[in-house]
Amino acid sequence: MPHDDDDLRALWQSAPAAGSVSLDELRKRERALSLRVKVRNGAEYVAAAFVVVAFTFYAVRAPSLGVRASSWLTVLATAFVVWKLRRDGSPLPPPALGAPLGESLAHHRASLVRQRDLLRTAPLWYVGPFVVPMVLFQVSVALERSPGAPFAVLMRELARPLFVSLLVFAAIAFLNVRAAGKLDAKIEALKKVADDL
Amino acid sequence: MLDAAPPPVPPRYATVAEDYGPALGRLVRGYEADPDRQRDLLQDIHLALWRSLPTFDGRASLRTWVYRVAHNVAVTHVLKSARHRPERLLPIESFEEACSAGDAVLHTEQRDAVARLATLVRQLRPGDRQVILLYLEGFDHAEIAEMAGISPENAATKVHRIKRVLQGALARGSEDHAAR
Repeated sequence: MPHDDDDLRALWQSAPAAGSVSLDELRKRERALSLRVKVRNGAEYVAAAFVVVAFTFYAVRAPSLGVRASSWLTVLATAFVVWKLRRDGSPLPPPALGAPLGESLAHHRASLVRQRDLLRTAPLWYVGPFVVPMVLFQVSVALERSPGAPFAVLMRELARPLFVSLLVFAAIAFLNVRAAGKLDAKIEALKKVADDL
Repeated sequence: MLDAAPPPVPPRYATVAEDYGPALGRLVRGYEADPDRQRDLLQDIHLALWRSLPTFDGRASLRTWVYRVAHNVAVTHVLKSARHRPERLLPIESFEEACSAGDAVLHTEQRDAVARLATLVRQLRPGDRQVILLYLEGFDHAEIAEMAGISPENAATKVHRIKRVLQGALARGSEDHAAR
């Protein structure tokens, strides 16, 4: 058994290495990582582009003024969300991988804090901008279907689709805020690790 | 979307892989118990070295850079993994108490002293783990301090306390196995 420093070191250094890594394996991982980043960034823009194209079509072609207005508002809301994600959701510039552990931990924590704050405020910037256009869209469609209908009839027609839409929005908001709560635990754990250094 | 030509090998990577490969292979044992996950972590470390060596600016020594990258990747790996539950890792004081009390948390069934040593090291929090792993690889307090970004005095204190506990725990473990 190790009695002194040299013994302890010798014991550790006698351990067989956990395998080796080939260049081929590394190249494969490097390609996979680059591809993941490209796909993730691309997906965000593809989704936004789809929404913009679809609602621009409505904005130009729909006969109803209300539908056209709500479509333009949806396009604006989408542009706002994309801008917000680019400004506040892009990854922070990383420290050099060779930075001391404290710096690396601080960066990791700052990234999580940024992500948490974005998720926590999602009801405002991610869901909120779409509420008015959605309500306007549904009211306009209902009015188109039943022009001149009494208010009570209109409300009965709108009740279900509005309720479902608002429920979906509420669920999205809830899930984002809950995800923010989960990040709190990770942020706290990181703080403890950093305080230990 | 895949590149036709394989990515070029960054300068110095081949030298780094040859010079530090065995040490990096041991380092991952201090962060992961499962051999497959050790191998996975080792690949992540090599990939990080591959990607970061082109940005190495020479302000620190290459050796310091390599070990910092390796430990940063390994610590991130531990912290990101729900499996590792960072809140269960022990600060030095609790590690000392647990070893003195013969705490079941630190009791290992492994006959292999190296495996027992690695298991004990894996109970430590990342900062302390980095320090003791660097010590076990043969670095002195000043070198450990530079790599870990702490003061030499802090490095010396941590090494002294953790080393004493490890030696005691390993000795007790050997006695237990011998008695069976």
